[in-house]
Amino acid sequence: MGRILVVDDEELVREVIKLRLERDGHQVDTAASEAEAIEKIRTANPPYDVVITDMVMESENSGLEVLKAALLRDVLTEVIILTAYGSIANAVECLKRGAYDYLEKNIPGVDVYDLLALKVERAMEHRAESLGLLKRLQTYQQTVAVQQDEPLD
Amino acid sequence: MQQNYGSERREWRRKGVATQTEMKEKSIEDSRLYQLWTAITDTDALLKAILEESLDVVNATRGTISLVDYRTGELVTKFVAGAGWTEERAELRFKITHEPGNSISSYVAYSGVPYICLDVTKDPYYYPLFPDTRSELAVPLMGRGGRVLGVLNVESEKVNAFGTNELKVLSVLASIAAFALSLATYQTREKALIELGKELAATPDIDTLLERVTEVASRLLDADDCSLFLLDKSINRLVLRASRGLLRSMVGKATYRLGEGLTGWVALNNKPARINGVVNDPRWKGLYLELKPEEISAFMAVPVRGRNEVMGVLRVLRKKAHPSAPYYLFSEEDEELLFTLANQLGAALEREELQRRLFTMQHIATIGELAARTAHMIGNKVFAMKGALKELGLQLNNLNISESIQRLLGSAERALYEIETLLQDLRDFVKATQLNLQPVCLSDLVKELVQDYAQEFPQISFELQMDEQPIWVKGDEDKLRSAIGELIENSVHFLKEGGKITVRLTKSTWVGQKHARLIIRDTGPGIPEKIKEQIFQPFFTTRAKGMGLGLAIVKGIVDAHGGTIEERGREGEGALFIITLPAIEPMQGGEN
Repeated sequence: MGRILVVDDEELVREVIKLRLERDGHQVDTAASEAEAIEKIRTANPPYDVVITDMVMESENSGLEVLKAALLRDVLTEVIILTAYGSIANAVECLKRGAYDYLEKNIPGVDVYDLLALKVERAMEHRAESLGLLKRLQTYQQTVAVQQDEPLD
Repeated sequence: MQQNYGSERREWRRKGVATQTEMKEKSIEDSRLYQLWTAITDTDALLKAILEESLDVVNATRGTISLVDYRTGELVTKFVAGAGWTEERAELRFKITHEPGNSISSYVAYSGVPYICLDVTKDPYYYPLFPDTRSELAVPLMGRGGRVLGVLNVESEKVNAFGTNELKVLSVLASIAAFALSLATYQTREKALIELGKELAATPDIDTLLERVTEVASRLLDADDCSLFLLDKSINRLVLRASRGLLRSMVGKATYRLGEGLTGWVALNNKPARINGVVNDPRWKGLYLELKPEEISAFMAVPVRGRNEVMGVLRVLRKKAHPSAPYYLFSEEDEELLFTLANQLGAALEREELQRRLFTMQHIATIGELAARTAHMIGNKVFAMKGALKELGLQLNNLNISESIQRLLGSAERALYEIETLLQDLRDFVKATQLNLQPVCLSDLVKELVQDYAQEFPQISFELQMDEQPIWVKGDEDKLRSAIGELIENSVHFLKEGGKITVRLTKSTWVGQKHARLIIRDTGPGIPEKIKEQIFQPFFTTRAKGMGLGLAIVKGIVDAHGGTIEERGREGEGALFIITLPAIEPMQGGEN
């Protein structure tokens, strides 16, 4: 299963998401701030498969900074943005910049945690797909390189 | 300039130089006319002085200045000079008429032409007051527009005492007197207008202000009734908002349709009406005055104008003092005065309306900002609690806990979901007033909405009434759709099967400004009188769902469009919502 980083300045949120995702068998780290998240992403080895981050923490754009750091570490890390009321515009901006998805924290009548678990599942699949594609691409490139190295008759 | 000239003069005096100029100056200062001029602000003193001067220059024994009382149609003696006057004699009133024996002054007041009587014993108009009077000279005091203000009269013990020379001199004095009288009227009016101007700017309560305008107008114009009708856009009628006099008890009740009666005519045509003998005017309706037409002396009404539209009508009325009293007319100056009052009022009303709208908007914006921030914080916490409860439930499940604890958990979760619904409502409320304005064909929008709802609720009958010409407004299409939709949904909610919703969209044109008028009427229970005031306030609801922002949001949207919304239904007869929005010229097809 996946290696996941959960970033939120609300302790209870971190704890609950961790519990929920661990139930699905994921390995979950948490960070309480933008700075802590960026540090953990930078030093993670191997990189996280999925990063789940709150949009608004220290600043309005904390989520965006976390996204940048994650993609810088591994361009195939899937980032899911959590938004509370009022920050959807920023979340859309994140999507444009390469986030996998975003999730509104408050959808009346919806179990958002189940929805999040589902999205993480899909993100994992997406990452696996991308990694597979990358591997095949590398294999192909190697093949081409080998062929090019062989002298033409 | 004057001061410099004066100091130069003093300089000459000091040097002892007698110049021609100085002599002239001195003679002017000595003249009675000059002294009269300095008394110009004290009308009574001036008139008295003029009378004495008159006696002096034409060698008269006695004299009077009498003034016209237009209300009763009488000439009232104001000032007397000369010997032999008793209080009784000095207080005489004469009917203004051409009939003989009512005094020469009274005839002059009637005709407006000077009169020389060479021998009173042979004069048909003469009224004997003093046994020694032999001849008389009477000159009218003429106001603007040929109006007789009063009469200057002198008499002599000699026959043939007055000729054209005397007439000339007296005419000059009479003009000064008339001038002073007019000036006094102007000063009174000016003072009242300035006072009122100050009040209009400073009085916060609009009803007090309206009262004041009618009070000032009726006082300055000597009117028996002054009434102010303001246009109520929702019902498209002029409604009596303030009255001083006969209509006082009808405030809030008396209404005129646009174009109905003289009042309605003035509003519709944006023109004043000044009428003597109202009875003869085909426009006159007099719906609310408990007066017979023949009891009315004069009527005058002017439009109250805002920058773009007629906002109402200010009107004054004079009653006849008695059936045979002459018509007490409103003059051109009176009309100007009423216009000035109406203009001041129009500006004040517009300012008030603007402030009200601005205040509402600011109010909503403040609530919105606060709501947004609070919602964000609460949302975060609720999110955390929701997750925590869920995990708690799962963990307790493994411990095989009692059903009552499970129920408690379930309730807590449901409560949290409800909080999220409230947050959603708050978000809608904040969003409602952030508009993206575009030309919108309101006719199409309303038609689509009604069709959609008719399909969705087949058990309710819908009727759509619309002008043939499409009506356009400048607005936010989505917001307008949700506002109108909310109203229809509201009606649907309270309707039983077989109920009916009528939606009517028309364009009404007032001077300079066109308005779209949308009426949504249902056959439901209607809105109880006691809650009518509150229905547009946030957090008011009689429905179980949500926090009752529905109608507050609708009002927020309409307000933000510069429109109005009101509920005018009667309890038991169904709800009746009326929205007005400023209309624009129709766009070419397909542009939107």
